[in-house]
Amino acid sequence: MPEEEPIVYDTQSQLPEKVVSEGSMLWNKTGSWRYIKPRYMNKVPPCNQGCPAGNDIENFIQQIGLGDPAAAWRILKEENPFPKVCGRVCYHPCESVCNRDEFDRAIAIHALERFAAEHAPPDERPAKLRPDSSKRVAIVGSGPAGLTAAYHLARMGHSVTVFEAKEKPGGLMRYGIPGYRLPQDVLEAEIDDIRSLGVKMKCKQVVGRDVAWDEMKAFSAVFLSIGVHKNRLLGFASEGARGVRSGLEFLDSVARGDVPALGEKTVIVGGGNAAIDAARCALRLGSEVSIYYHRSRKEMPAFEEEVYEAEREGVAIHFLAQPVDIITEDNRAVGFQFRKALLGEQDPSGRRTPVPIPGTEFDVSADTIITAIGETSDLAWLPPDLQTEQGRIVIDQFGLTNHPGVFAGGDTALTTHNVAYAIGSGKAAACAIDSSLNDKPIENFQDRIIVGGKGAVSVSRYLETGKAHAANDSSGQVVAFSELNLNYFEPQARRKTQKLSIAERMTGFEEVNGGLSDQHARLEADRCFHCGVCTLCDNCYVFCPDVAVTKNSQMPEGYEIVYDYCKGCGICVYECPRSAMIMEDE
Amino acid sequence: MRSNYPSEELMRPGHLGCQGCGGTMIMRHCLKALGADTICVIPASCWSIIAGQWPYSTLKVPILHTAFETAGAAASGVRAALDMKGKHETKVLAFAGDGGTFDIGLQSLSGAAERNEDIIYICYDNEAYMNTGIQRSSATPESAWTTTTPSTFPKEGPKKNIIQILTAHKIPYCATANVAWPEDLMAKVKIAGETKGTTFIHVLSPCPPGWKIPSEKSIEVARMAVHTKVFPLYEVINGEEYQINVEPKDLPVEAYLSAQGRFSHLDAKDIKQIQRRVDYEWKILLQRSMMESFHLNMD
Amino acid sequence: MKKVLMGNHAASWGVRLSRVKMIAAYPITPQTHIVEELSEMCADGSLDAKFLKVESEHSAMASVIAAETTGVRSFTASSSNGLALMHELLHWAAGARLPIVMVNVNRALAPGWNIWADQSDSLSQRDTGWVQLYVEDNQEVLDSVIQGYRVAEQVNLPVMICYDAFYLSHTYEPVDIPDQEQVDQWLPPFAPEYFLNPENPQAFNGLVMPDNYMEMRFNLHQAHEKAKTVVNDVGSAFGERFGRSYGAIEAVSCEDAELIVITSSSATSPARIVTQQLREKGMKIGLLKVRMFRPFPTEEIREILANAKKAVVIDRNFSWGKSGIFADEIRSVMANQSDAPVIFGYVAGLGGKSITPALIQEIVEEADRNDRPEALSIWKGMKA
Repeated sequence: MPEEEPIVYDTQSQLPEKVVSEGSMLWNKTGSWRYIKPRYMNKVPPCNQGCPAGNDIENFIQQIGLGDPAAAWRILKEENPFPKVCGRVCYHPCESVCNRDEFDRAIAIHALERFAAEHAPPDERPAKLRPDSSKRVAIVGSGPAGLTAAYHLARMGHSVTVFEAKEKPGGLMRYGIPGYRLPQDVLEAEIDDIRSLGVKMKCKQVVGRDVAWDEMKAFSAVFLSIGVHKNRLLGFASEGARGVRSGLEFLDSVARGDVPALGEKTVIVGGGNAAIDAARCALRLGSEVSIYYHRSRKEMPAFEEEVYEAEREGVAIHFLAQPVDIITEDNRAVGFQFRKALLGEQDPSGRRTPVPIPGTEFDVSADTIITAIGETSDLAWLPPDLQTEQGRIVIDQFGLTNHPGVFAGGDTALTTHNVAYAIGSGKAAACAIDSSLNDKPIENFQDRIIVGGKGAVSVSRYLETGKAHAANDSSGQVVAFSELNLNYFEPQARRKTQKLSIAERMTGFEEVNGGLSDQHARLEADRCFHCGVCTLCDNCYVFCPDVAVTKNSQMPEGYEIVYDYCKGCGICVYECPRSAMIMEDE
Repeated sequence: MRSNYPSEELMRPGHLGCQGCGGTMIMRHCLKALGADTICVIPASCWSIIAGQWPYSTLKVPILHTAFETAGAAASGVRAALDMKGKHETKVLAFAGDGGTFDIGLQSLSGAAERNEDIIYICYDNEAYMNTGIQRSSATPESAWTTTTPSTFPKEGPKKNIIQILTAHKIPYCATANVAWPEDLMAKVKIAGETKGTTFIHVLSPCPPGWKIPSEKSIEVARMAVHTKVFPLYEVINGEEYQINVEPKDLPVEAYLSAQGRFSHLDAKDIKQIQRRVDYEWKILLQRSMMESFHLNMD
Repeated sequence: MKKVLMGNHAASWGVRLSRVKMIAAYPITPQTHIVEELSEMCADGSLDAKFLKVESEHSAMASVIAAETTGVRSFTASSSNGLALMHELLHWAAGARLPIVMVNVNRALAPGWNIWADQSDSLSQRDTGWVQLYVEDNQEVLDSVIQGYRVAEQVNLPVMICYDAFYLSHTYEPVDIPDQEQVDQWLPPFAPEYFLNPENPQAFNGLVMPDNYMEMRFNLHQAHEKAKTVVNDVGSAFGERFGRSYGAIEAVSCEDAELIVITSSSATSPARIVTQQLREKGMKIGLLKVRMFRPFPTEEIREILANAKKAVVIDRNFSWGKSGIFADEIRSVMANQSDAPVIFGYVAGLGGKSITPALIQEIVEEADRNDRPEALSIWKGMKA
């Protein structure tokens, strides 16, 4: 390029008569002044790291901000077959790690997820990503873990058969979560997406009873996601009395529409989600409901939001009440005796253990008692040498058990029991099963597929589709709040979703939470910091004093740093609102 | 995405500006706002060097390098010649530093403003004679260190209020601007370009070596100047109608001062004194912005 | 067309006939009539030019430089302290190789305030790179302005036309005003090769590093060398068209002269009378008018003085601590010349004192009497 060549006058007579320029300064490669240099480097937004289901949250929010919720849905579906479900029932740990929470309030990620999912094009279903492999995979249990594994394995080209003990697939999503939180047709639509990939759903097939474990050997791999369906017992002789039911059984019958007759006063024992769900169902069935929990509010395992809504609806929650016995008359429950407790030392879970106070027993009258103090798996039918521990199947990071070819996930293998974790475990196992079917150790992909440092897995990255988590740098560096340039953000109110009034709720099982309007969704999406992800805001381009940042649509970042001229001042990195650039040594 | 930032580059790379130089950013924004049909008049200043040595020029618009004190007059001369050639559309941009504006060039600027020459005058104010090695000018802020105002005897008296001097000429448009608000800066330059008569824009131009700040903090410090009200952003129409453009975040001046090495010798008492002056000036500006304009009262 | 004009208005007419497009000026006595008349001409439309009434001579020259760089023929006028204020920009104009023409009405510098004739102002600008012409009468004022543009635009050097305060500036003489059409044919429109042009964006007057600065300056020197010829050529060409020829010098009866009187500007006119009278009395005397001071007509002066025994230089100026300036210049160009005459340096007429025929005669007689000057500079016409 002649413009980049210095002009040399060999003799005096070649000089122009006037002091007039005849060329540009482009020959002057000011890049030589530099000793450190900027680089575009997308990082992991905390929400993406914080999502156990491995959603590319930042990315789908960006699409909503750009006015394309269908694209947002497609991004979600790359990782998670259940955005409609998660947009409703997930306890959104992503929001509690959202950097925006330190600025004003966290982004309403769950509401945006639901918004995106509800804007899925009606006739569009996720397609297979690979041709048929002719490999067969069995999945035992059709809860979120099993169906997630089925969905991804089917997209990977494998032939998947799901064995489900109950009439319909869905597991606790169908039989555990009441309709006012998750309407059945919503769940059904997302299961249909999985069916459309050719996944065979064999319902009312109990492995170990209707189907022998040995039949599993016909499959190249098995994924055990059998869930937790056994109610923990209080251990009282009175537990068999009429009017006493387990939480899971109660929720199951409500889900089937087999509405049980309740008395006027229902007492629920427990503090988890099943207790809260049972309480809110009982309210809708016309009973007066009280919950008794043996620790304090702080230790409750139920989602805070659910507890809040239950109390708004009229559930009375009593804390530090240790069950003593069920009071019966003629083998029929008429009340419950509790004893008051104090909080003592922390237990291994970090929660303080209740210590009963002798002589503080008190009686509560009730005609229905629901016990919801925890659930466990029935593992008796499994091969005896399958390694278990405290009622859970023991797995590695990617779901592999001590049996080659046998993988497990979901509540039966995890200590944390919720839909998001179950989905995450289904994805990890799907990747591990696929790689084992291809005779490649999953460890080879580990660096690529883990998002951040909390174990969230990206199937999109595993398959290198480039559709989700493509922007995040594989270094796994997560953006801290202090790394953002907050000058580019103004406080904005978090958009609220509509909720039914209490009176409306009590008329039945209609969904309580509404979605966001188009306008509110856009506004909410615009609040997103897009931590660590370049949004082409142009700050680097506009502020470069050396015109060394150029727009270049050929580059993955959309910009190109012209290192011939970049003097290394660092303004681009400092002024990046979202820490999507770094300075590094030459 | 700033889709409104024009892609045409009228300032090329390879120039001789220091790392993080505010003056180069200002030039780039100004030329983007004015377009290629512009003639640039540059008196002695950092830009005499930044533009590059003969036989080169970093700009894609013509430059007339001229003597230190002559920006106003030279721009007037270019304007007169263009008008005689019928080139009324070509814009004349005088681009001068604070020395060439507040000090040695004030007379010729005043002359041009009084004649209401159809020129755009941009003062990129880095608050000292940076090109000659950081000597104080009348734009140097109170109590600042420079190489002629050592920290044991720092700059006495407040910075000259150049906008007040220019508004006293009743020119159609005066404004302040700042590199941290490029859209605002460019919008103002655009208005200046479209306005007949003399327009004057005073742009705070962070200077990493002169202010003793790290180069990456150039924009950050400039931004703080606005948010601490040290350098408010406003416009003055016809010398009388004031409009404040950016609401400051009301940070204490200490935030601005402590970010810069040239103020590192200040003690709490000095800072309090500066805060008092800033508060006072802000109050005056607020009052001015609330006054009805003379022209409005004419109706 | 003949008109009776004061010298300043003759200058204005020269500007008008040259179709100057841009004028910038600041008032100073005794130059003001020039620009007053020009503003009338601009106002009545007889001159299509933009007149910037700037706030100082410094700005006048700055804006004229800018206008010329933009490619428009420009003009300014000044005097004395005003010219001194322009000093920095006189360097710019020449260094930028701009064909500006200005008029300087020679006036003494303060203090004490003195508005009368004295060449010290323009001679102080000797080394700025301008062509300087010192003219003798009002006709020559007008003619020299027009010639100035043709010279300037041929060699890309600025030209300063200098004439004495009041003796010319305020004195009315009949002046022949050429037809505009004829001037238009003789002086083509200004069409510079380089000018400020957004379609060909170039930077003017930027930083020049040591590797090229001296070469640049050598260019300027060469332009001055060329101007020596061009001034004469243009003066002859002017004569062919308008009947009045001019040159860098004018030698009167110098061929056989043993004593040659050397003058410039308005002092030439009384010297013409004195030398003619003495010649009629049989004295071998000649007169050399030095019209062009920069570039200095070295070769022509050496030729004229080669056969003379004495050269008597009358200076209306002085270089402090040394000598009259024309005298000094002539001494320097005659140095190392084997047949150089004895050079007598006289200083007279500073600050508006008259240089009368009687004074010139006294000077000539004294030089004629003495073999050698009694001092390097002899001050004449002062109180005892």
